[in-house]
Amino acid sequence: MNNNTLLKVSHLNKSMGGRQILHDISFEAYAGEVFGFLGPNGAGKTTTIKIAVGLLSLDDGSIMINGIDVKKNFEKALANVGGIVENPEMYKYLTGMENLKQYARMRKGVTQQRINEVVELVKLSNRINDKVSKYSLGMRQRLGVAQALLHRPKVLILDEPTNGLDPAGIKELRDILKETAHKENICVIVSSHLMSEMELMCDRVGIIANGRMIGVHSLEDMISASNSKFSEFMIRVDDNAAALAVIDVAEDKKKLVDGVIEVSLPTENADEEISRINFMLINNGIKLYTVSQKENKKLEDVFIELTEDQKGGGQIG
Amino acid sequence: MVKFFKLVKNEYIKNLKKISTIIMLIVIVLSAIGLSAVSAIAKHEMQSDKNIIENADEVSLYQEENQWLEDTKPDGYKKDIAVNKYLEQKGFKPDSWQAAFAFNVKQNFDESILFAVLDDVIGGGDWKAACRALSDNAVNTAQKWEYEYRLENNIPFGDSWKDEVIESVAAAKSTIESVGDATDEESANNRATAEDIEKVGLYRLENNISENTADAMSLFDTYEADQVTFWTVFFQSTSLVSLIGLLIIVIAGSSVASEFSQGTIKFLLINPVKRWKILMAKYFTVISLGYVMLALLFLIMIPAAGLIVGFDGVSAPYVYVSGGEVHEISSFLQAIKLYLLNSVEVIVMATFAFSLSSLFKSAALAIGSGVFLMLSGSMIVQILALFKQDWARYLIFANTDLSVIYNGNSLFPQHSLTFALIVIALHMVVFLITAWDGFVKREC
Repeated sequence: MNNNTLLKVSHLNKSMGGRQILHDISFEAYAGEVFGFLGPNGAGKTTTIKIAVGLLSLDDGSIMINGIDVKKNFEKALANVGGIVENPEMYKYLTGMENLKQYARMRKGVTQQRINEVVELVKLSNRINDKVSKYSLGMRQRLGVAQALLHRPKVLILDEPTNGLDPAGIKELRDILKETAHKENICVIVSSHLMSEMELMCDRVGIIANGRMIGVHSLEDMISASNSKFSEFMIRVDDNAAALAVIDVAEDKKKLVDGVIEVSLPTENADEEISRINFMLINNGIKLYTVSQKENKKLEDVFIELTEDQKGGGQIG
Repeated sequence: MVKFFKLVKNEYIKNLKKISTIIMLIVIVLSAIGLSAVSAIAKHEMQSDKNIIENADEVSLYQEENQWLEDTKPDGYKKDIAVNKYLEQKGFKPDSWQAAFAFNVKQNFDESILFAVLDDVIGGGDWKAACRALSDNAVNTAQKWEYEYRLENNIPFGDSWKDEVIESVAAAKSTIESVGDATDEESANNRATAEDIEKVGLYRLENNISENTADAMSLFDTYEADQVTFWTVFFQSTSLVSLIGLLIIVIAGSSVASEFSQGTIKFLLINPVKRWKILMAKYFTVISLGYVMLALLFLIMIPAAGLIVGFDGVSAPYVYVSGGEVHEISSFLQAIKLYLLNSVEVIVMATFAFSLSSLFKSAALAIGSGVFLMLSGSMIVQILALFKQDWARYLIFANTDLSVIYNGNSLFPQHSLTFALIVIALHMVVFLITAWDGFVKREC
């Protein structure tokens, strides 16, 4: 076990209403990282998070937060956790500040100064004394983040935190999360069904589908997975048949798609290969019009490829 | 412990920031003022009724009666006419104590002695001589006791509250005498009641207590304006405790359920606080808010009843018999006792609504069933008692009205306070376990 492991989920199983929702979920998240919890709707993300913060019970397995078992020592374990689960629903008839004070009273060591600090951080200072009933969804989301950060938790768990935020709000939130994770060396766990969102803020991504953990990848791995060893090139010529015969790469590395020849070339010496193919085509009197590189696979495609193998997905959110 | 009070503080803030709670507090204040105002109006009405009677020409009343006596000639009518003429001549109104005295003693004496006695007592003569004569001519031991007591303790006639108390004691003594050793239930009850009246009366005479708030009747049983006092109204305010019961059911019913319906439960439970502590804080808040409301009603009733009905007799004590002994306590203390006895029903219903609240996640359902049962429960028990269904005594509603059971007026025979408290305790345990199960173990 890594010394910096702050959240350790081991062999989690959960059934609800006679149906197994989580199958043997295990993963770890470390200090100083933003961990993305990625999966299609209904895959079991929220269920896992709810179990981690004690809102749901677990059938089997264990959740350790900062080395403390949530089931055995709930209060001590949860003292290290801040979070938002599902929608940021606060007491509407109280002001933002009154809401924060409610949570401050339930946690240790939250001073008025700290409250002001987090309010400043989420940029709610000028509306904090308004009733929450007057807040937009984005403002409530930010109040939720402020609530989660109040007691300087070591583990911050945010379930779909960008819901309802405008693009500027999403960027702000991203910056806040990255900064807190890296500067204060805490572990931020963010769930989402959008890979594009994860790409921009996460260091590692755990992918869940149909209640099963498919894998945990660092973002770098995923990027290099998408930038595979072969690069695709599209070659447009006047005589496709002649060109296909002339291009001397393995049969499975060249094909004709929509009147354009596509070839897969080793990425590391692609430039050499292209100039060689160019030379061969010209030597054989084939007119070369254009050569262009196909775009890399997006992470989104990698994600879909990974999750598509798991047919169906769950129905519980 | 500090943590628990912080949780309770949270709950109080949540409740007091709701407009509905503020409206409830205003309703309590207004109902206290309303009760006092209605009492004052009733008192005013009784006063004006009395004035109409008093304004009747008293002379004509004596003359009318004499006319009737002349016409019908009953036994001893001549003496009655003479007494009426005597009173008319002296100018004593028919409702004066002098007239009452003359009426009481006229059958004890011949005309020759009667007027000497009347002269002594109501004409300002030697009342002690008259008293001795009265004692000698007493028709029973109770009457004899009355006159000897007056002589012994130097209590002349016409001291209004003492006259009243002495007469009530004499009446009680005569009841005890007439019941004798009879052992049937009715006789035993009559004897016990009479003995209590005797003891309280003697205690008041010995300790010079001119007013006993135990005599303050229910507002609905009073016809005399004089009897509508500060304490009549104050004791009547215990009926407003049921109103507080309704309000507390609303608060209890939404305490847990509203957290679910508003979705705030997740933010509440994600804190490093065990669920049972949160539940206990909520329960403590509901119950203590009930007592805050009771205290508010109590404190508002003092100026409301005082300023609207009047502070007359506010310092009078409450004298009663318990366990064969006379006790004297402050009437404020008695009022607190009454409030607390009535609060039992409030707590039971609040606990019931609270358990439904955490069981169903629906405030409307919890409040609805709580209010329905509070309003219909005692009726259901009455109907069952009417059909001699003795098992109904085990129902919670047969046991919540402790003051009735305490006074021995329960619908069920041999219904003791201990039995009631056990039934209440068992129900409370069931309610709390239900709430516990619904909240602490719930998946959310």
